[in-house]
Amino acid sequence: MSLFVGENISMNKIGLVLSGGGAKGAYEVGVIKYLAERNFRIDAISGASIGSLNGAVIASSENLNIATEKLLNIWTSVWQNQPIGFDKLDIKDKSIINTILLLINYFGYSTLFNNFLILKNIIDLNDDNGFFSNNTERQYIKNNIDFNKLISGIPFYVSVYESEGKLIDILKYISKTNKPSNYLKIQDYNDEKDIINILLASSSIPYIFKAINLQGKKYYDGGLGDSYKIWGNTPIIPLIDNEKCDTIIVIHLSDGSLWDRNAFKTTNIVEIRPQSTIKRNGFLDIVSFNENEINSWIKQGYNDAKIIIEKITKQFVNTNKISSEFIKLNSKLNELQNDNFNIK
Amino acid sequence: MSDDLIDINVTIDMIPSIKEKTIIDFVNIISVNKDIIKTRKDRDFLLNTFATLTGKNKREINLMFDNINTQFEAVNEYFNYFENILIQSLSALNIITDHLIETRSGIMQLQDSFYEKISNMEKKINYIRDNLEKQIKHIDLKLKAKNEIDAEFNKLKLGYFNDFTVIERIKIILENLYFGDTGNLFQNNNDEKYIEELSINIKAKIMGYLKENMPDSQILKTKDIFNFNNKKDESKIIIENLFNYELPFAKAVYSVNKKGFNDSILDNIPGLYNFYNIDILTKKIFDEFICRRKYFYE
Repeated sequence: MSLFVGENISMNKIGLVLSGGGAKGAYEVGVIKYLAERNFRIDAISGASIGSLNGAVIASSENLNIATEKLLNIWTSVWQNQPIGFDKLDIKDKSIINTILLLINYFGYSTLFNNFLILKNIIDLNDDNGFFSNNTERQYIKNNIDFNKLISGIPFYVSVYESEGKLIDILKYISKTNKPSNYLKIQDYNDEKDIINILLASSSIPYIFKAINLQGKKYYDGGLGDSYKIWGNTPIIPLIDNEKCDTIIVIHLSDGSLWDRNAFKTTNIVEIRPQSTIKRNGFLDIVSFNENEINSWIKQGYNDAKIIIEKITKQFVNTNKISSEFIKLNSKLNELQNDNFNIK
Repeated sequence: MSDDLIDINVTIDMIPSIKEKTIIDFVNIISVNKDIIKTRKDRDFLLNTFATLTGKNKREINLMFDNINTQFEAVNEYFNYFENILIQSLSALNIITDHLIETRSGIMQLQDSFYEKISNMEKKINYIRDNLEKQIKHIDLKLKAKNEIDAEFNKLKLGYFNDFTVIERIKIILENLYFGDTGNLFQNNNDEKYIEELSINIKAKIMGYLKENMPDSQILKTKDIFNFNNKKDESKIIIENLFNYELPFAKAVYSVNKKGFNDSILDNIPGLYNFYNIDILTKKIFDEFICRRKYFYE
């Protein structure tokens, strides 16, 4: 109860779930900024896709204030070096065919031969290649995350999906029949390369990025797993099952997420959901790493967190007041009952 | 607990508690459902049809209902908590109110009793003050009377009244005392013992003065008493009158004077005074003084 009334030292173990959503991850930065201002303490984190990258920054920071500072630095400069370079393609107003041609142009494939290669790429079950390189993302991770602090930091889980072939993964995702994601605890890995691979795997969308090979297994974006319940993209399970968190803040990066809090009957769950639409460019939101969108998502995340948490806080404050006044009343009544006041 | 003590029988056994989850669900689900409702409202016809075909619409509705149900449970728990707090608080307030009413009544009784005691105390203080004032006044009067007596007898000793006969001198002193502070003291003082002592003192002074100043020739010897008692002359009658309680001393002296005695009859009765007689005379003179005082004031 004290968590929401401004007392940082509380008995609660507090978890933070960071959903995946590409560039909309900026929304999470706004939420984290508000939590830092309110002096919230986070005891464990789990993330999927962009959430795992944000989570790595938070988990490797001493506190939320430092994490917020780092995240703002990263996110307010990310458009200067596009992670997947869509700024040059501008496919928003183009037809799908034109888009594919532009993509082909972008990678410099010769037209006919590479159309064949793309088709092969799509239907080949054993092929795990993607259209884009994750080198930029890899560089971001190396530049912005202190791995020693991450390993010795608070428990941090990354949602990844063990691939059965990218086409099958995608089809199962669409049909909501895929298996659960794997929740890898970063602190279980000491090798920097492994940690980078896990973080890259968590945001490797099939076809866009190549699958990540980790200890003989291929992994894709954790958001693919358990897509019916959305538990892969909003990975709360390790924080409940492994970390026994009793209060968990869940940040969603999509409008009207069907993630169901009612499945967790004994955990305090605070969902931070977009109170107005989070959409900016429709389907392309996940790659909209540009200044305007990122700034607006940061602002939206901050405002939504403020609105939602302040409402809860107000309720806690009022309830605390009721309890406190009642205890005082009870105490005074006991005094009256126990005194030896003789009126005569 | 005796009947005199205020008895509060109702106790609050336990303080109602509420789970954090209840409060969070109570409030947070409003924001969750707002997000889902907003998303559904924003869909155009095609997207809505697609959502219906894929079952998303149904899932959203189910999720909202589940959320609403969870929220209702939270609201219900919150109201239970609130009800318990309210019921117990009202009970406590009723008990405290009863206590206050009883206390107020008791305090009013104490107030009445206090005022009564204050009033009695005031009366006692006034009584004591009056007594003290009287005592101070009497002490003052006693002092004045003592000084007056001493002064008058000093005058007597110093020969202020030597133009008069011995008895007349005594009479003058007694007259002065009578109309002075001594008379006032005799009139107002209820301390009979003190008055008696003072009387004895005055009598002793008179007696002493008479013994010192009466000529020996006028002292009645023991043997003369019998003779004197057998005389049947006017002087004896006068003396008897003088000793008569009913006649004021002044009248007696006056009546003797009127009958032609140049001097006081007492001075001219040879052998009248011996020690015993002087004692009687003093007593008679003084009783006359008392008598006169009584007569004057009555």
